[in-house]
Amino acid sequence: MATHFGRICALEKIPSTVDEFHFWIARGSADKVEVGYIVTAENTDSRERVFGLVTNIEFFTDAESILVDYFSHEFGNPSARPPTERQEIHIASAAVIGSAPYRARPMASGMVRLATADEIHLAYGMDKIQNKIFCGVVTNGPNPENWAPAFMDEKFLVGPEGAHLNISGASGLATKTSAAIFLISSLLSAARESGKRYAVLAFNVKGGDLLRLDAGGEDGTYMQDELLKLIKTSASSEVKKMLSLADESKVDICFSSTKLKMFAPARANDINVPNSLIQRNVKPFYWSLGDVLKEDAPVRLSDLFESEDVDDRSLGVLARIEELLEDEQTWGGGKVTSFKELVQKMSESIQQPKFWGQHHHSTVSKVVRLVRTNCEGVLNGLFAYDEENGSDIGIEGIGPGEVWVVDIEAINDRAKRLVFHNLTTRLASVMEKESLRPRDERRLHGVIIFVDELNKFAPTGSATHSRIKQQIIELAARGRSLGLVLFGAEQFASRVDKEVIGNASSHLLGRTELVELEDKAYGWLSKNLRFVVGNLEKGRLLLRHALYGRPVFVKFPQPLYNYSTVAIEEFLAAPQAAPARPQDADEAERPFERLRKMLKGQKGIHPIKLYSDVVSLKGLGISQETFSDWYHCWLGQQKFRGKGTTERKAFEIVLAHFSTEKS
Amino acid sequence: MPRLQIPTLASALRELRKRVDMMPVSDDTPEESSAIRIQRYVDPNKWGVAAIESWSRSRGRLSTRQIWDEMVHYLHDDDSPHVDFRYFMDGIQRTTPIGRIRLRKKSFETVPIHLAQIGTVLLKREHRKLIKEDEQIRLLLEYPNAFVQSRTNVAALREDLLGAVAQQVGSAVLGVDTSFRVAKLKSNENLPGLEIKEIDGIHYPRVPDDELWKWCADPAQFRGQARRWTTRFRDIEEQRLYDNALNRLTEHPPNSPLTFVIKDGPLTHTRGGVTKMALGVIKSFSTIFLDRSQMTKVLGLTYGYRSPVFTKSRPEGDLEEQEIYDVDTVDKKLTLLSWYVRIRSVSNHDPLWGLLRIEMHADVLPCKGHTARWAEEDTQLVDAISRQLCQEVSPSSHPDSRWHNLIYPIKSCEFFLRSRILPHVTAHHLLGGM
Repeated sequence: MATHFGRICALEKIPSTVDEFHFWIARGSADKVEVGYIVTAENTDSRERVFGLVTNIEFFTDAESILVDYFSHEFGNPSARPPTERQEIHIASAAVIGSAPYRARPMASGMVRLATADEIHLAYGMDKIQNKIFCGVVTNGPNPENWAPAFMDEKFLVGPEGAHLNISGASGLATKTSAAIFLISSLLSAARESGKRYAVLAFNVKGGDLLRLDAGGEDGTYMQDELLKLIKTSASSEVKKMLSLADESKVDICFSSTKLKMFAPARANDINVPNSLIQRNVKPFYWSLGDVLKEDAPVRLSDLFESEDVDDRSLGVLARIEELLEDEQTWGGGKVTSFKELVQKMSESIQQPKFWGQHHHSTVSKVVRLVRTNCEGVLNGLFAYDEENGSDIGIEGIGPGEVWVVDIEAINDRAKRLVFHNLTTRLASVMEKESLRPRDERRLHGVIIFVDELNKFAPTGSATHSRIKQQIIELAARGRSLGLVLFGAEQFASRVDKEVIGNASSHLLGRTELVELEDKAYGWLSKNLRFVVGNLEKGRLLLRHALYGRPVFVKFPQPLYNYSTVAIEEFLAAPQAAPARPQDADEAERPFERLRKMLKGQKGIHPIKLYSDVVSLKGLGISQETFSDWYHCWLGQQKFRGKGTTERKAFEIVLAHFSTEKS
Repeated sequence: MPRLQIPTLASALRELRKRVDMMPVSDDTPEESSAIRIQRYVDPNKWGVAAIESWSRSRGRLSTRQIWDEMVHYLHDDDSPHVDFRYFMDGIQRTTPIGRIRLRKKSFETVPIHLAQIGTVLLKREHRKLIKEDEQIRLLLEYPNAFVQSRTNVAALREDLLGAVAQQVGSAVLGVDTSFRVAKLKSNENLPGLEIKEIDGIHYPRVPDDELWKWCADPAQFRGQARRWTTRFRDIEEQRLYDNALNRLTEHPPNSPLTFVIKDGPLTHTRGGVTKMALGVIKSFSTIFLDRSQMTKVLGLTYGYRSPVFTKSRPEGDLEEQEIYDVDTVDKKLTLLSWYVRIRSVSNHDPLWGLLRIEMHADVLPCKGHTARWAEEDTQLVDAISRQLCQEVSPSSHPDSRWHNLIYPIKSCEFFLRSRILPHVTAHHLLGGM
């Protein structure tokens, strides 16, 4: 049991209320509590406990004004050291989370200490959750031994009671994607344990993180399970504790490549190459004219154009085109199957009233131009201009435990919206069918749709793109009944439609600009918590869940693809990480062992730095990237990457370099 | 000390009220009422006051007269000893009238019943931080028990009321019979038939009933009597705290040999071994020990200067009630040294601005209080103490109006004690008063 470090004080100006209490902190204990910690105030006489989230800590001395303090330091001598230090005090305010036993009256008196893991669960109602989803670690205090696992209720995360998760925070600092990926792995692990069948459709809108889900380390040198083993033995006690708590909740943070499928729209004018940052294992997809003419096609011909470009007359022409295309003999010479052919036929028939009836030839010309400029230009790749058949993502075939990633980073915003609209509409249709067979054990219970930059798809107060926006709002409002769950992320929650935000039963908030936090979208945050959120460390987020009375700060294990090469090298250099070499080990392994021993204790030897420091390496005619690849292989896998002699020479040079340096 | 729950005391008093005709009072005159105190000179026939410092840094051996011509500058930089003000002590008392008892049927004479609270604290300074070393809180119920029993015609009042309260609340509250005089029995008072009360081996005689009977028409007299008894017990408590501090220091001797306990106020009532390490810091000047010319020089002291050290012997013979209450034979001859010191620049302020009077036992100095043996070491020690006091001006004791000569650790003692005792208004409520 943690020791008491404070006591409740209730004054006329700062009384205890049913939702707040204040306590002073004992001298010398100020470092035991911080804003965001969870404390227990207990009255040992009445055996009542109240749990509170520390929302503010104030420090002051008995100097009534700054002038008094000024006088006390020899009338303004900053280095003056009076013989006695002033009486000083830390006063903390805590928002009541819960109590045991339940009480709806203020806590009059009591001693205060850090809440234990069990008390945190009791306070937030996590102890009563039946289907727990491990969602991070409540880092309550500096000692990892006191940390508690945080759980969300599956019923409130993926339905049916509530659903959807919204993550917001500053780019690069809030670790939104990492948080979402961790939660997805946790959810899928829980589903595996409970026999539920969930799948994930993730849209990659920036960077390549989602395309490297199964990679071990930032350069993908390691297998995820190997890297995880290494981290568990060599990482800091904090990371180890988080991983151990995740293990206890049976969370597998490794992604199997067999369950991972990646897609990207085809590159413009080259339908066989995905328009993606990472080419490997990414399958290109594209749509043809036939795909937009299907009766149940989510993306119609009219959706290809900017709404402001398409007036009523143009819509009339587009409707006429669809009529004309139904008849294979309209233009003679068989069915029109590609956009290119369509443009060609339309251009030829502009002046022929038998095709266009009352439509003015200038309107027809405009539509021709729109089809050509969009399909051959801005949407080329996603729409194959001259292909007869499309190559679509078979989203209808998504299976349980699978994670499908669609990389839409490289395409323009309109194309992104079309892809999103197409896939989510089709998924809704799939899930509608699934819901018709509730007793079928093989049915999908739900699909999590993860999309970053949600503000692009459902911006606040904007009439543009209203169709996509309405679809997301619909998804947020009624998706849970179908099993469609939206995991959305954005930098600024204020820029996302409030219905989308409001319908999310869970919110994660990472470090966010203070100006943004002033928006009423963050009205649930107290002023002091806003400041804390504005200065949150990377990897720590504020979690609000439908079941919790108050938000809670959580940390989560970093996804395995995210570990930097330098960090991994440090793990490798750690004494406990060095694998015991078998007695009969092959002689060939010894040089690698020698290299590792030489590097032992030397931190920050990055291959790029080594390459630039050792001139003779450049003399071998190898590139910096090649050397980096070799170097990681020597250290990580203790073998040569290839069979070439240049690599052996490079290895000898490196060994000689370190030997000289050491001597 | 047994812990007392205030509700327990309140219920005991209310129980008493059912049996006796008592009137709650709401006299909220504060204990610390700011009456203007007139300065008075001590009677030189009773107090032994004489100059003792007889050595000047610049002029060597001097006569008493010569030394008073030159105030001593104590801020000079030399190899004077380092003194450590380790402990700080203060006491507080609060005497609250909580009820009046009608002494007689068909008459309006009343006697008051007072609740007195005494708090004493010893703070220790360690690494520049003040921590509580020891404290004592004492509750007294003051009432002229013997007088009322002898003069009342109310049956219920003939019982021992203080005893009745004590039965209910135990030893946590001490009943004090204010029918007795606070000053001890004088040598010529040992008359047969005189009722005597003994506390800690000292005998206190009964105040004649006729005099107390007159007091019934003037409740302020009883109040003064109650306050004097409170002060008497405060002295006892302070001495107890001193003795505890001394025991601690004996068990864990400090590194520095010149470790002092700073007491707020004079050392007049301090006895025992602690006097050898106690410094009394007096910031009020209602009693003047020096003659007019010397006092004029003291009032003219500038920052960094002190007066020469003079002796302040305790009165011989029987003491007046207001002067002293308890002097045992061993300490009667104690010689206290004293000097005035200016710790802040006077500028345009009052002549008492930043002025302190220090009291110290003569044995603390190497010369042991002998004028003829006064040497440079004695001057150095007195200077070092004065200089250390000068350091204590920071931090300042704002917002206290006495901040100019109230040193911060003593202010902290006061602050602590005020947080420990009940305000008058709460004490009034003990008998259901408003």
